[in-house]
Amino acid sequence: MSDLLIAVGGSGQHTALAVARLARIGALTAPRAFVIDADRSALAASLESFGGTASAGAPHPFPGGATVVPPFDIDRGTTQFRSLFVDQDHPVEEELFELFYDEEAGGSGSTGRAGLDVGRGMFGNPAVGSAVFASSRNKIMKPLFEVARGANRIFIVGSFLGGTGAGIIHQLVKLVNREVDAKVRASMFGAFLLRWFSLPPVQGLTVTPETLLASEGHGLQYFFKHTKFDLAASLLVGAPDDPGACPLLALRPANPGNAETVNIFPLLAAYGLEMMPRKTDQQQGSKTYSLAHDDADPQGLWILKQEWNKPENPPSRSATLAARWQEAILLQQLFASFLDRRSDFVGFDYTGSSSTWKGLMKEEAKKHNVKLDLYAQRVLEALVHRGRQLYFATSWLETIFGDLDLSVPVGNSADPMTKKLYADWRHRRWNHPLALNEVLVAAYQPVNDKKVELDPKLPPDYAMAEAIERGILYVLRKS
Amino acid sequence: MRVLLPKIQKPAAEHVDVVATLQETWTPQPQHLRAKSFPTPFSQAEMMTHVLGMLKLESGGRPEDITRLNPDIQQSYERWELLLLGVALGELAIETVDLRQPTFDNFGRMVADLRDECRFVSLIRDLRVAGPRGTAMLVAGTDPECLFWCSARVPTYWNALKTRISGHAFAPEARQLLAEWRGVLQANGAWNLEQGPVWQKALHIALDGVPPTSSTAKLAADARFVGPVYLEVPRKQEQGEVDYLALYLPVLARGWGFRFQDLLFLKPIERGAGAVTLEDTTTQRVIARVAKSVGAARGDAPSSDPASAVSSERFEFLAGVGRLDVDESAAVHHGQLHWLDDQNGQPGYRSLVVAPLLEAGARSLRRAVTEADVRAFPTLFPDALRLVFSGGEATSADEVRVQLSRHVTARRSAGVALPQTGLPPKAWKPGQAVPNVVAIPAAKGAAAIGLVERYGPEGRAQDVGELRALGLAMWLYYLGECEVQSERGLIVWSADEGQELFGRVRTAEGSTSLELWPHGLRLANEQSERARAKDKRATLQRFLVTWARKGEGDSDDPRVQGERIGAMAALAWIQHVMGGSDSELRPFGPATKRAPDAFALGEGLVLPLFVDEYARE
Repeated sequence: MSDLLIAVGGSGQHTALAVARLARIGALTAPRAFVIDADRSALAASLESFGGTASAGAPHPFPGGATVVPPFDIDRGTTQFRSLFVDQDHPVEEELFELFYDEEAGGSGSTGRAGLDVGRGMFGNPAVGSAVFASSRNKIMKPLFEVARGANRIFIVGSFLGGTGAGIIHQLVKLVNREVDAKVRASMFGAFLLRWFSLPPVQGLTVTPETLLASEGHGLQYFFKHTKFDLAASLLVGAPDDPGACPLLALRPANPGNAETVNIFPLLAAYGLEMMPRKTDQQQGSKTYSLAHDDADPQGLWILKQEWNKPENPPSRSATLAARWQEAILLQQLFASFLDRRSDFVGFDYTGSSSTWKGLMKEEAKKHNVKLDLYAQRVLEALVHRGRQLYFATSWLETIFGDLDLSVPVGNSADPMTKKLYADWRHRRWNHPLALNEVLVAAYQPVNDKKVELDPKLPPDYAMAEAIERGILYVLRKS
Repeated sequence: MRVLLPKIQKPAAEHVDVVATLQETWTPQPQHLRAKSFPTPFSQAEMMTHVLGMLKLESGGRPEDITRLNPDIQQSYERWELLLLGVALGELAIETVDLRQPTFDNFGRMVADLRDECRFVSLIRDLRVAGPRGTAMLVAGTDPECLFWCSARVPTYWNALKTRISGHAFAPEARQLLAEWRGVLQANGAWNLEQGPVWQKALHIALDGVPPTSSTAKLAADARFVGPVYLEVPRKQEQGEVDYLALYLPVLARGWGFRFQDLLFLKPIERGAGAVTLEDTTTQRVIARVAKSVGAARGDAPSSDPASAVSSERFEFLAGVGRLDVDESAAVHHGQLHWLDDQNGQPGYRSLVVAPLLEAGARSLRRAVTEADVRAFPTLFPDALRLVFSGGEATSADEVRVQLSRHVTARRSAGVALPQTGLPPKAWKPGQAVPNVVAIPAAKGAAAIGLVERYGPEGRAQDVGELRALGLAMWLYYLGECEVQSERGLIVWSADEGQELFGRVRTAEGSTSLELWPHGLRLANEQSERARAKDKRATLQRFLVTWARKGEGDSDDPRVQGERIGAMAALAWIQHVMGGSDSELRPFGPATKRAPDAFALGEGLVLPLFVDEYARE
């Protein structure tokens, strides 16, 4: 049984992207993902493709990927909120519907006003989002509940802002809670963002800063009254009113065009997946957590110093996020070095190749009836793809934290090889021959020792690339 | 360290901080309240709950109308109070609906799925204002937490209602009625101003100036009840916990209580071709009518003209028992021998009224109430009709499920439905107390109607029902003042002067249930009749002797069961006669032999009749 991440709305997808990136660098164990949003945005495309890097050979960090599912029945042929419920055959239903929803949201049969088109979003109407979701419970959302029943732990992420996440999350929590057994119910967690970006005060927009704040306020009311009791623990995090001298905490404007907005808050929400199960004593009932920032640490090193995904990532001495970030940087540099010496990599023209990778790749190439040089060429391409995925993760961290010396937050627990290579890279002493002649060759040992094995589910060349990456990580972490 | 949350200023000791409720910190100011920001389809109800939650008990004055601060908001205390008084004054009607009914389609199902306690919602309509579809305008709904919430759509309606309510001559009387209703809740531990639901706080403020009272005189005399409405009430002895109770709201109706028992006895009269109107036989006032019906005009054969065959669609009880959908056409035809029974394919009272009531009962949540509930909390269960099922509905040999005439539910206690049973004669033994509910076994599918509740003001409640009236009939027969006659296949109980007393039972076409007429019931309850029975004290003692040990023997024997019904009826009548008397009636004299007549109640089930050996002398 694996963990399940349910991401709802724009903020949920931001958190899901954070989780996927952190999973890619080993800071979180990758859960299965189920993503719900009304519209097909640039953000959704980025999540589905993992920034355009996911492919058959470099699969999405989430097992099975991250397909974004709309919260309404597409087969109904309409995305008008009114039409999802009201039809000519049920006039009493129409009367009831109009008791619940005003004309702006629910349209009108008498004036012909259409109301909201939920196919383009909920436009800051959680009351609409909740109804749309609840109505699809036994239809398009059915697979979600099936997956939830078989999950080890469930993490629900999103925000109380806007209309989609703010509207769906509470009913989602309630309905999932009803569907799963007591064991899963005791391992249901929620990580929710409060105000974490700013909106320009543009006249005429449906969603305004005021509507966001209203959704947040009423969403929190509802959360404390109902939702929190259906979760083993929850994390609430958002930008403080006064960020002080810390630019990390300042509200940044939402990226136009529904593309990704990068700041620290989705990362903090993702930290909830790591922190909540560890902190939560199931005997003590539902707790709600938040995070706190130390003004004496304006760079936010505390979150990089936290332990993530422990006890995974052996034999590393450090479970800090900074350590994983360092490794991801080094892997990219190593893969880039391999590419720089493409002919040496493909022709096995480096010291120690004969007794290491050449033999294994020859055996694999023969097994799959491929010429050795072509096979090695494909392995190199796969490594480049993997490097792009790592870049998608590390460039995001760099946008959040800026240019940091990661040896500081890693501190004394640093793994020696990582420490040395990171220092070389950081101080521009990177040595290309070293990558092939020492690191790559050394990475064969854990493969030979069966500490790292080829993944039979992947295409053979990509399985080899993955084994190389894991072998290198083993080398980097070895004392 | 600063907590990473908007609006929170408190410092934190660690990076991971436990957040307390902090709800007040995030609650929007009144001018920023926005119902559609609540993450639930019940957003309007949530907003009303929020608005009522803002009320201050200690302020002593009326809260400012929040709609002045925020014109976009539909919910306010002022509108809540208008709804409360509008219902209590009968200006607004309540229609309790089951959202799982097909007419509400997927929207109704969705809403009902989200909150179990909201499956049954009461719709508030203004009967004086037409809505966009020609029906009475839907202006509000009910909710367990806030009681009333306003429609999302009628912003301009409220001023007109305010004008009507504020100038209403009976508004003070309605407040008094509501104060008594509150008193009943208090007396039953269903009231908590500090920790109870917000609707109780709002009601308390609405009744500002009306002194608390423990009297229920006005409730008993001048109120009819509408609903039921599911409401949160504080759970007894558990602070902060709530129960859901099906409550009936009082509506001011002067003199209603005195007509309560007569509401049982409705008789259809005709009005226009094919239409049926039900009339209260005691007051000749119209009680209920078929809104639209079809059939041949009086004296005609049923029409074959499809154009005239408009089906009956709605059957409305003006007696406060709500609306019932009737699918079949309704008409009384010339030559229809008995309005209780179907004739020539046309439905009689039983099909027209009882069947829909049963159907409504079958659609209910099947949360049942006990007799004890009804006795303890009479104003909450004011249904005039109680239907006692037997035959296939029996849940065990010892009990028969009582189907109430409409959807009346128990207070829900930890999700456990309470038993609701009538005692069949096979489970009763001579010498035991007479039960309030007797389930008379009838042929399969038939229903016996029995009134099973007590009625009357607190402290003077008395049982009313057919059992006692049957006892009276047997007593009159015992005295020789009543006969059983055979007439065209019917048996008629009649007085000496030929006046029909208690109804008819068809015997030629098999057994049917016993029917008793209002004359009989009234007679049973008249003080003069009771005094007359007491005067014949020795005769009454012989009557007691005669019946005291009847019904002994094999409980499965229909003959024994028939005797037990008679014994229970006789004892119920005797207890009624002697009620309030200091002395207990003791058996005296010889038991009397059975008369040649008997009364067929069901298959093999015969009510024996006895005649006093001195009576005819």
